[in-house]
Amino acid sequence: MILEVKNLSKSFKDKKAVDQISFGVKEGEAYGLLGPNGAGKSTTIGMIFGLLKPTTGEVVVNGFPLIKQPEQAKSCMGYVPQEIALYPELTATENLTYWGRMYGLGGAKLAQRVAEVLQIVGLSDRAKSTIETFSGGMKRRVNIAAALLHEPKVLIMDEPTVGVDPQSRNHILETVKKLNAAGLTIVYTSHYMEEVEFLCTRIGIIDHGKIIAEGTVPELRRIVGEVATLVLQVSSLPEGLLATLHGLSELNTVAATLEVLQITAGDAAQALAAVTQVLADYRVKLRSVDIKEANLEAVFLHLTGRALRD
Amino acid sequence: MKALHIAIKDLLITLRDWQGMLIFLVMPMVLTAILGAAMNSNFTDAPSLGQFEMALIDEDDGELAVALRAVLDTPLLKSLIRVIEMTEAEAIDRIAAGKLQVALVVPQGFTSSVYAGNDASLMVLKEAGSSLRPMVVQGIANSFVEYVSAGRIAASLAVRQAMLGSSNIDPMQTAGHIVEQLHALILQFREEVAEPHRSLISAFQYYAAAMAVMFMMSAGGVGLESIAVEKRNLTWERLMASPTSPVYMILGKFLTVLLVNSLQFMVLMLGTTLLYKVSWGDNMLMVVAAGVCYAVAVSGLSLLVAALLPLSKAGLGVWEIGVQACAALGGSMVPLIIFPKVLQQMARLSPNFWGIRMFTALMGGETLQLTHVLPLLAIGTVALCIGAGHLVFKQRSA
Repeated sequence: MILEVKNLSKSFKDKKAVDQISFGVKEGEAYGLLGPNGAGKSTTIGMIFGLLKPTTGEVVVNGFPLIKQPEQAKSCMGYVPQEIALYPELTATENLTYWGRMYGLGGAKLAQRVAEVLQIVGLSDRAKSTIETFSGGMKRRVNIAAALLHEPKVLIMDEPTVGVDPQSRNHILETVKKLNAAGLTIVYTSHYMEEVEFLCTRIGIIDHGKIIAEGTVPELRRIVGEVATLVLQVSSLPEGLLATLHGLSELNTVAATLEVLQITAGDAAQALAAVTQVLADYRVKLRSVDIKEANLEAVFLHLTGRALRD
Repeated sequence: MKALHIAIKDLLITLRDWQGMLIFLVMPMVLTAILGAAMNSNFTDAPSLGQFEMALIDEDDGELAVALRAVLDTPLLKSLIRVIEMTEAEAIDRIAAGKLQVALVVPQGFTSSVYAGNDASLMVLKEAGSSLRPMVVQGIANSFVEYVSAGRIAASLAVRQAMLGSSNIDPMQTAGHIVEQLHALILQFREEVAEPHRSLISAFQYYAAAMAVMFMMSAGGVGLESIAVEKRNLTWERLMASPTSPVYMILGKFLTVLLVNSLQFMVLMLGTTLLYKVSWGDNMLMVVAAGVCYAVAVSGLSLLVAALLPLSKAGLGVWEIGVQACAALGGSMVPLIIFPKVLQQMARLSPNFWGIRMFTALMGGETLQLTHVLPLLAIGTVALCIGAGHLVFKQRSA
């Protein structure tokens, strides 16, 4: 294992943010930590990098225990924080040179790595521009480049696409995919199910500070069985509607957000027929229907009774 | 090395902030010009200030009056005050006519009063409107009275011994004892009270030093601000996630202020030299070393405040208030000689006091001495140790 997280817990006063989390990441693997906001993903990452002191548990990176050998352990990891942690007044090259030096690089090797990582993230032509002149997506890419300089054994990314435009998001995901294909171990946290599903070979689903399920995408899908997810947009959610829907034997789970119903069911057609009947009884108009095959969203819904973005 | 890289990066960011640079470099130059010109009357004709006229009115005619004359006759004070003996009436007339600024009265019975253990004082008559010269004389008078009062037993003994040995009292011998004892006090007094009337110090010189120390202290806020900004934009967190020891991170911030301050001092020194013909001293290397010593004190204090205060706008506000308080107390606004004695003692709490004392000593032709730099290095080192210890502890227990 390149990264071992053992029984990690973190309490803030009375609140347990992370509760006995354990997982391991093999070399070359892309491991996803999927969970809604506030699930404990960033706290876990914070403890992996020694930014937060664990209440219990330990982290071992490439054989180095973080507590006893922090510098060796940290040298093996590249950190992509959730926010853009760069100096806006400095150019991309100046930023990367600085971060390279903080990882012990210098001289020609550093200059070479700066040029390489700028190429990886597709910003070689903006090397001399200050970060403050970059778009949000470009800043995110430099943010990633800074974590790659020292050729880490494992790249740990904490929700790196938050607030990024779709084009930059795709660029980032493709870059990460390529890095993983080239052999770099990735740990990727997100509340975007599609990103984790696209990038990761193994996923841990985290909720309320605990890993509630772990496995490959097919393994996780099997948790909910052969189910489909129906997303129905309705005109209103009158009182009693949800209770009636919960009573339908054709449906597995029902969740509602504003005027959207999210339903899982074994037989999508039967479920839809039953639901439309109930909606008609309540004089609720059905505006759109979207039927999806079982995915991680459905797994999360199945396990927690809530949608990922609740 | 990592600490140095952190400092160089911060220096680069600071140098690109032209508005900040304007405050740290242009403001002290402008204020030096304004205050130097405005306070020029108090420093006017500095050489003649070293030889100003003072009337001595001796109504006592005792041993201590003779001793006082001997004190005033020491080369140290002789270069400063030309003593003319006259009666009180004559002195009052001359002061009224604007021909004399200050007179020192030894009242009748002064010696016997001191020997009897009673309170005694010397009186200073001054021309309305003049402040600096009468204050110098008042300072000398106070020091003399303090000394002879505190040392009256020893003085009485000396007098008694003289009386036993000979039927005639030798006032000169008594004065000699006192002068000898007073010498150290006078030297100290000269440094603390009489600084501005050193013949070599002009108002522009004084304020060049005073503004430099004040704005260097203000620039110490760069250290605080850079930590605050790094914490806000999470580069501090990223740095903590890297294999960089917290000790280097803290040391880096210390070096940041040290570099900014040292550079600022060099620019101010060169600027005031070129623009106002201010002479900072004969030995430039010593002046630069002095600047770095002061920067050490500021850097340490900046880190201490960063460790103890919340790094918010309020925290930075507290630093600025502290800068102003230290400037006012330490003599950056007005020379300490104008202050009451108790404030002059309290001024030692301000790094500005030590900074101004060091720079004006160099301007006055002295060499850089340990007594100049040690207080500043001590302030910087102690503050660095406490601040760094506190920050590292906070970081490790997060």
